[in-house]
Amino acid sequence: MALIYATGHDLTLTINSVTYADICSSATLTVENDQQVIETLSGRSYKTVSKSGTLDVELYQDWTSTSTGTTSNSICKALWNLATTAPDTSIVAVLKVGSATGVIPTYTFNVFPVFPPIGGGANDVLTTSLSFVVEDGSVVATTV
Amino acid sequence: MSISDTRAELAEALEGTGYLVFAYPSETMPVPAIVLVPGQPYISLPTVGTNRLDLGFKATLMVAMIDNQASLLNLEDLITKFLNACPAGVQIGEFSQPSLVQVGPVDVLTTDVQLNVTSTKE
Repeated sequence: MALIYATGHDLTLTINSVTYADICSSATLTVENDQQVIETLSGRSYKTVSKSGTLDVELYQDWTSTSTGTTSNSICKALWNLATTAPDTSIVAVLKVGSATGVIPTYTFNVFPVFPPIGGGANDVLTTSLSFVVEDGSVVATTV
Repeated sequence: MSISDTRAELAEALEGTGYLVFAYPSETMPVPAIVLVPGQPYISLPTVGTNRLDLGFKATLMVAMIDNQASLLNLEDLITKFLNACPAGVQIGEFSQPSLVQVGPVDVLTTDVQLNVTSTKE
């Protein structure tokens, strides 16, 4: 079977049931084991006590979208409202990695809303960088 | 909005300057005029999906080269009207140093500016 290289254009990012592929220029999910090294008389051993993760996203600012509210199609407004009203309530995010025709590995997880930084340079298309904390133990991978 | 529709709408908006606008290079271009041609890069895909397109255009503003002072005044007037007519959401780059170009038998004073606009595939 031919090797299929995945590119960033094969990514699909969904947050709170709204897909933001047309707004997002980069999405990276990083999950790490929090591993402790235990030194004993009999030698070194390792114990993973938890996992931590972040979702780093580069977005085009879409504040001028007409929708409002926490389920709006403006991800910036939706995140701002959620970070204001329910910062400790996680929201579901889905990251699909793969072409539309192949088997698509899908990662579903919960992230906590953050305030998107606002503004930018005069001659630039406005972008914003977000780093979401992934809720502990929430990453579920399917078709992997 | 398709690529062609976006280019046509941008040209139509620039007609608000009251000057001739060519949405493609033409064999004869009476001045004063604005010529809108694909830029470099022309089309890029800035997002993770493939639906959103970033279209780049080069607009060339041209006035007749009468004498230095009058032509520069005319070009500055054209730039002002161009900026007023440029629709919202269009990213306007820097205007190049005015230069003398020969279009057919006519000497024209021109300046180029890069425009970027977001569109979709369809």
